[in-house]
Amino acid sequence: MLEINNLRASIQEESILKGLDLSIPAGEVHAIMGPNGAGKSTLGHVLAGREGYEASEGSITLDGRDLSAMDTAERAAAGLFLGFQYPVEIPGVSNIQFLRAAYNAQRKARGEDELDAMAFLKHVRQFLDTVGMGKDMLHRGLNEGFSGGEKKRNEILQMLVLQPRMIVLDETDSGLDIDALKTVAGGINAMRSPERAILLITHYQRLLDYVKPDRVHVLAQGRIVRSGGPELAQELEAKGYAGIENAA
Amino acid sequence: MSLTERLQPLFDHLPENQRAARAAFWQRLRDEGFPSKKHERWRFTDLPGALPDALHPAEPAQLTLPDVEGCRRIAFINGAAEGVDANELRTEPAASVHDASDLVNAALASTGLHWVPSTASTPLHLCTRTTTGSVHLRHRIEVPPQVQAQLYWDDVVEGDADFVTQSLEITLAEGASLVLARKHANTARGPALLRTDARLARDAQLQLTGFDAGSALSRHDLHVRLDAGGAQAQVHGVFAPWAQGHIDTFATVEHAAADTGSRLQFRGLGMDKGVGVLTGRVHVHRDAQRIDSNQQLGSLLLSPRAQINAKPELEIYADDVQCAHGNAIGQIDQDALYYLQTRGVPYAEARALLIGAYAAETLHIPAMPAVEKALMAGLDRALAHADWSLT
Ligand SMILES: Nc1ncnc2c1ncn2[C@@H]1O[C@H](COP(=O)(O)OP(=O)(O)OP(=O)(O)O)[C@@H](O)[C@H]1O
Ligand SMILES: [Mg+2]
Repeated sequence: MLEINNLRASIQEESILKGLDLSIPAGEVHAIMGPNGAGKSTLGHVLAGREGYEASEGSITLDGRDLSAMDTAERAAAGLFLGFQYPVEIPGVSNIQFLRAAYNAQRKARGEDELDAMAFLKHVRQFLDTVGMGKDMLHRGLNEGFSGGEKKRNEILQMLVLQPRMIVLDETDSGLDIDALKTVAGGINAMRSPERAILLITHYQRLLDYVKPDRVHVLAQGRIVRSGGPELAQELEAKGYAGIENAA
Repeated sequence: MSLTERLQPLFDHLPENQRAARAAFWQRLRDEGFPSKKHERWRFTDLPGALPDALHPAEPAQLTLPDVEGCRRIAFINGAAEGVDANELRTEPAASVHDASDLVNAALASTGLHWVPSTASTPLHLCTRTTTGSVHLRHRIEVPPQVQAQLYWDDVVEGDADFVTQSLEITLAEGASLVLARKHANTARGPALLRTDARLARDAQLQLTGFDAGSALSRHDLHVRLDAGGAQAQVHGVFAPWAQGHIDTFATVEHAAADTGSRLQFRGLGMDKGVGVLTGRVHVHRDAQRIDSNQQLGSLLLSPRAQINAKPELEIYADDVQCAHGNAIGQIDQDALYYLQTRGVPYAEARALLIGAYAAETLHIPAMPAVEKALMAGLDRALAHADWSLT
């Protein structure tokens, strides 16, 4: 579903991604682990098409469609979802207003009918229990004053509401207590399907205990330096990255 | 050609008896002239320079007007009254003028709304439309003691309108209250001037909310005077110039008595090559003790060519007062824009959502939700008109 070939990208003239290859077939869950500053979040932003994060070389395709030809919103409408490591606060735009704008914009882009306020509220409510959020949080400013954990739950709520096909979650598990982690994992597992693919960026084995990955990759110094099965995550947990980077 | 030479045909066009009643103002205007940019209050706005060379009397027009739920609509279309009761039509000339810039209106205005609401009055929807020529209207609202009134003033200046001046005098008697929302858009070739003068008696409450947009020159002189204890004024405004638009607001709140309160909140949105000028002045008289005033100005520069010049001014002669003020200029939050786009909201829509969020608090009118919606729709239209290729 997602094919990345020889991806190179620089931020402010500093080369961050240096020839990254990654292929994630539909129906699979992959995890990327790697040391701080390796370029994991950068990869997420290059995929999403953030300004200043353009690929200088290589290709990215989603279902065979060239992502670099699309702007950020078009990529979302094409089915890409990026869960942020640091979700943005937008005071003045309520959570529900934001969700509805996003949902209807994507439907419109796909030539589908938009949902009115009532029908949309119904659509959202079915997911509130899954992420353990109260109705009142829908009417607050988007992420405004949300705790770290609440912001991450809100990312998962957005994912559930938008039902994307290619999901990239950047450290959605960081900063979560154990109950929140289980809740977030439950949300992710609910999205597993033969038509979707999921990429988890994480530092911790514990998320992978709840969401079993098909493949685990190590990203270091801008490249995938090693790939393996779920056991690779355990090996990393035990030994750290030092040995692996040297091996590469 | 001088300003008065250009205005002469308009004055000559007035019926003989009206001309006689306004001759003193006309003579003063000829003697004093219109304030130039040397005048402190007109430093940033060159009105005579923006006037077309030839000015014409307005001609009648047929227009379709919007309806607002729960409001009674009246209109002045190119100066001609529509749906205005005879006893609501002003015919007498101005009693006095407030400053030299007001002389033009005092000399040329022959009519306007004169509204004295009662407890039974439905909210009024005043539509003023100018599509050709010059129109000068002088309105007056007198709210009797303890009466609560609501008015939505929807003002459009467009097309071949060459010069519009309007003056609105408001008096609130003891315990009276007025919620006044105003939407103004000027896309005409000529300038539009507005003066609002409000006086509040004991325990009176005034809530003014304005939205000004356009691609031409608009100037609003706003003066609120709190005459007795318990009087409270809330003055909110959003201005959004686009293209070569120039919107200048000079707002003054005068605390002339002790125990009065004021809240000023303005938001400027600079688009294209638009220019926004804003002066917010709070003037506290010597014996106006224990007054409470808060003034917050904020602006978003949405284009590298736009200019916003906002300035709070305090003139305080009493010692036991609370006067807070703030003034902030910023740009749209790029991280927020990106976040919205990653969720599928297209760039222009994301930008509109963020700008709307920025203006929403200022344009919030709990007493008139339908009117609040109309003001927000005006903002959306302004954003759609602007050329965003500069950004
Ligand atoms: N806007 C930026 N300007 C300059 N350098 C940047 C910018 N964004 C990222 N970088 C640099 O790019 C490198 C990769 O950063 P990135 O955020 O992708 O790392 P990461 O793998 O996600 O790390 P972490 O595990 O700490 O989240 C870092 O050295 C970082 O300092
Ligand atoms: Mg990161």
